[in-house]
Amino acid sequence: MRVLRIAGLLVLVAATAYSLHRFVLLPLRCSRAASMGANALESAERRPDYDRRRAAVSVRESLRGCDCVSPANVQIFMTRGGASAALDDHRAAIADYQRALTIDRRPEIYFALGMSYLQILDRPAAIRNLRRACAFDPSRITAIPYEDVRAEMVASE
Amino acid sequence: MVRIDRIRTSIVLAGIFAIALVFSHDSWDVFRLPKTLLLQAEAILLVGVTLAAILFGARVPRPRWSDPAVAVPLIAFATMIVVTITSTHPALSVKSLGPAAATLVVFFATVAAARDRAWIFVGVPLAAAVVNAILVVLEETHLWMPFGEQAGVSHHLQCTALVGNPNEVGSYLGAAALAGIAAWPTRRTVAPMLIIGLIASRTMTAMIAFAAGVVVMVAISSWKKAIRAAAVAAIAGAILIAVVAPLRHRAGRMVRLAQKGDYNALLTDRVTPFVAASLMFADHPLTGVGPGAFAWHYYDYKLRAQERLPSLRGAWNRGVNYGEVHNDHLQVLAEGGILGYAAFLVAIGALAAISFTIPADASDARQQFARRLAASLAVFWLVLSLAQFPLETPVVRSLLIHFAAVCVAWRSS
Repeated sequence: MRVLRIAGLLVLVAATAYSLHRFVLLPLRCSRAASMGANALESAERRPDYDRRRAAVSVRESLRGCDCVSPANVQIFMTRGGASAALDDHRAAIADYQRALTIDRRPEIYFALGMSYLQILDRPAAIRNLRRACAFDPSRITAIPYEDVRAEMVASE
Repeated sequence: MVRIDRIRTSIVLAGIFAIALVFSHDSWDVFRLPKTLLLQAEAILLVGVTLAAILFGARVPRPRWSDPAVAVPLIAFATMIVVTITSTHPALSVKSLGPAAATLVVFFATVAAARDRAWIFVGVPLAAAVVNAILVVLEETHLWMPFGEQAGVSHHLQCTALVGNPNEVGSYLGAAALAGIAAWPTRRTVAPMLIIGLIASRTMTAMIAFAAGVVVMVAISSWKKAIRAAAVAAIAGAILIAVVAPLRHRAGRMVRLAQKGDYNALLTDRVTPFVAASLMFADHPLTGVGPGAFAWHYYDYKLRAQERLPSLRGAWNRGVNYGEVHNDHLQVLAEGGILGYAAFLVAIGALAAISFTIPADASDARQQFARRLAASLAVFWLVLSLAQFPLETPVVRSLLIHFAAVCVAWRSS
């Protein structure tokens, strides 16, 4: 009986430790990694290409294992998408932005998604997402770097 | 078993103290996420300790299902499960069940732990509240900004204490101040500090909710005294507005906006989320869009709200994606429909009813505390929910649930 109790206690301790890791430590680590990663990408934008790509690789690496955190954190996928875009891996970026949209829909996500679709030359998908971003927040039109796309947004508004 | 009981009490008290103070400075979500995770950690530890106790021979808790203190929270949680099943975005709603389950576990653990204890269950959360009250006063008076100061952001918005944005600080301190007033006959030092912190936070809704709660608290003993208290509160409010410059400026601005008919600005540009939530409720009246799904649906409903009221297109926050309605009544209606809102009202009503089940001449000081606090906390919660979102803010929700649990535990001598 005593052996069973001790075995049960060991299982309970293991389950508690796993739960604390899964539902407390992992979401916290991933949130901090996403936040620091976003800051790193922003500050690397003005640096040489090699530094920018190295920062992006580091950010993607830091967000490994963060796909299924609870509570769901849209920042994780937005940051990872930004890192993929900085590495010109726009298909991976699109996948992350689309994953972000399942958690929260924000104009900045649609905007980034639209820009990534432009990079892989899928203009209809790009226009669709940019239009969604600009319908919510018309000020984003001015942030589109391509005149023809900007004109199309203005015309549709 | 006494040791397990002490461990459980320690976890509950450590949790309610730490949740008001914990933050993660290098995280995008400095306050809310760490507090949510702390609540989840507290619940996991409480479940673990309870199971360990049962493993080593403790009696399995046998809840009295007919007791409203047991039935009502379980019915509320069951309702949340139902509206999660019918959710328009099940994946998001399922993830909302985690914090709700954690809150439920902590509630029951607090009731069990507070039954055999006294003022430590009031003193510990109020101690954490005093720290935040002092901090917000230091921040608002420009004496100390512990997180530094960002250029381009108004100073007031950066006065977060260790709670979150100023609205959350006000809501939290309002609830704490109400508990401080309820403890006044035995513990007099805390309430004034908390009221000063509440005023410093400049959260009008929290101040009005606090005043309403105090009036109800007085009314529990005497209606005549309550009318006098209401008159005093109104005069005190008028003096505060006249004397405290930021409140005076804000009141003046509100009068000018009302005269112009700019009701959206009068409501701090919240008409868009209010209308969006109303439209969500209209589309899904019985079970709502699902817990945690308001923010996701806001994208489309915001555009519909602007079609209904074109003047909203001129709002300064047109590009802001609201995560909460900023009105818990509408939020619960939008996310839980009539079912969810009924559960919310029943839970608040059950809390208020505690004040009326305790005899006026109860000799136990703890019973008198519960009698004073229960109904006033319920009214505070309802009024606060008109323009704030305590259910979605872990620190405010935790404090409200903590004192609700203490009222439940202390209703019988």
